[in-house]
Amino acid sequence: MAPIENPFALQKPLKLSICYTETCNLSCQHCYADCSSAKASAELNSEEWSRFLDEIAELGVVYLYIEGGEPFHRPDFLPFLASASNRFFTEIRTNGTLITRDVTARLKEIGVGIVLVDILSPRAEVHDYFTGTQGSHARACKAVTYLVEAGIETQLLTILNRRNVDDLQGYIDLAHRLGVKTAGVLRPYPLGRFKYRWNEFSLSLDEMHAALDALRLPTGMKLMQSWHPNDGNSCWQMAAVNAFGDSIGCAYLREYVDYGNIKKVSFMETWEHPLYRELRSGRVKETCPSCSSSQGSHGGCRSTAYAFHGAWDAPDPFDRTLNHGVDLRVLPEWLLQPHPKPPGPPR
Amino acid sequence: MFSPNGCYSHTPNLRVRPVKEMKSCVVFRPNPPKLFMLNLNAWLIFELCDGSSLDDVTQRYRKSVAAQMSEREADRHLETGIRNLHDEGLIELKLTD
Repeated sequence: MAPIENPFALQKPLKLSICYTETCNLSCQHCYADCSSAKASAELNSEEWSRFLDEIAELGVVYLYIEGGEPFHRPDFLPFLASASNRFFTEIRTNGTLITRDVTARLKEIGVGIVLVDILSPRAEVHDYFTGTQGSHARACKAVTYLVEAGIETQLLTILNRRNVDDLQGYIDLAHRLGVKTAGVLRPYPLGRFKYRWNEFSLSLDEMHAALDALRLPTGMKLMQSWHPNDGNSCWQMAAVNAFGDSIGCAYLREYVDYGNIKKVSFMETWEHPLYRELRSGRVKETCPSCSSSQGSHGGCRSTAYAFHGAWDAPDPFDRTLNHGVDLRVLPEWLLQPHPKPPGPPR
Repeated sequence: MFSPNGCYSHTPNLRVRPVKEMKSCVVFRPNPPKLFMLNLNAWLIFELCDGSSLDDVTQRYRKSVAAQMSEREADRHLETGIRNLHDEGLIELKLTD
């Protein structure tokens, strides 16, 4: 049998994610970046980010996904975004609470591509419980209203978990009421603070699918979800750099890999890291025909595959055809450390 | 806009990233912001719109696709391609006398 492998490999990155900061004005219990309100001195400063934009523009990157932390929490973010949006299609993921009417007008002027706002629940008390901040739900919804009114492409995101699963239809209905045409339902990742609350928040795969299957989408609403048959192994096209300049391939690999720091080496030097090349290749032990057909890649997400199996070529247990009895409510113990390494030799 | 009386060229300020591995070309149009992935045919037409007249673009397009289709078919594909690229703001037409 022919080995499973992607049909081609990109010579240079096309799209890139940056975690602009690991600071935030909220205190989310599920934060993947384990953010705090104060900026660490080692974060890239404006000049370093600016130089990096020049470098990746020269490489031919045309799409920039910006997340955090909360990007708008850093005072130098809007000038950075203005500089980026001339050269890249920009997409920002935000908690929305710092987006006022004035900021919205500036975003329109800058020409931002898409703004993704995290809404953890249609119910304010549940959302505010997650964010640890009273009133954050109201402010996020207000931001969505401003953005939609300004004609900026705006989408909602939520992370599916035990506390919001019963309100998933309400989340879709809220998106519809706010005038949003695309709502994303994201899988939970055992990262940052979320993994230490996994027992409380996690669902079985069947529970996740039941919630998704029960959704009734209003006319014109598009649902983004990455479960079967849409479970992509996105590593082939991913590039990401965290707030400190570490090249990490994908924000969801933030605790598992470090391909080098862009303050010390060129981005392309990190791109050629052997593990990075291996993950882009799509060489995996098993693939789901439906997902590989819809996504053009094999094996599903490498982050969750690695988290639950401790091996880079393992099947993704979030894909029902590749799950093989893995209980997603139970995390391997080795994950519960800041930079987890599976026991035994590297696989 | 599809006119014999003019020259077609790329809209200014686009960023163009050929991705030969994917047999496509990604184009970023900053205003209003949108990303496009051009297939080989659209990419070819986009490249031919280098400030040339429609007649010149037509001749070169027919030649490029001669092995795959008749001239009549080629003209139809070209017209559709130019209209789409123009509608999306990726090419512009400068009318001549």
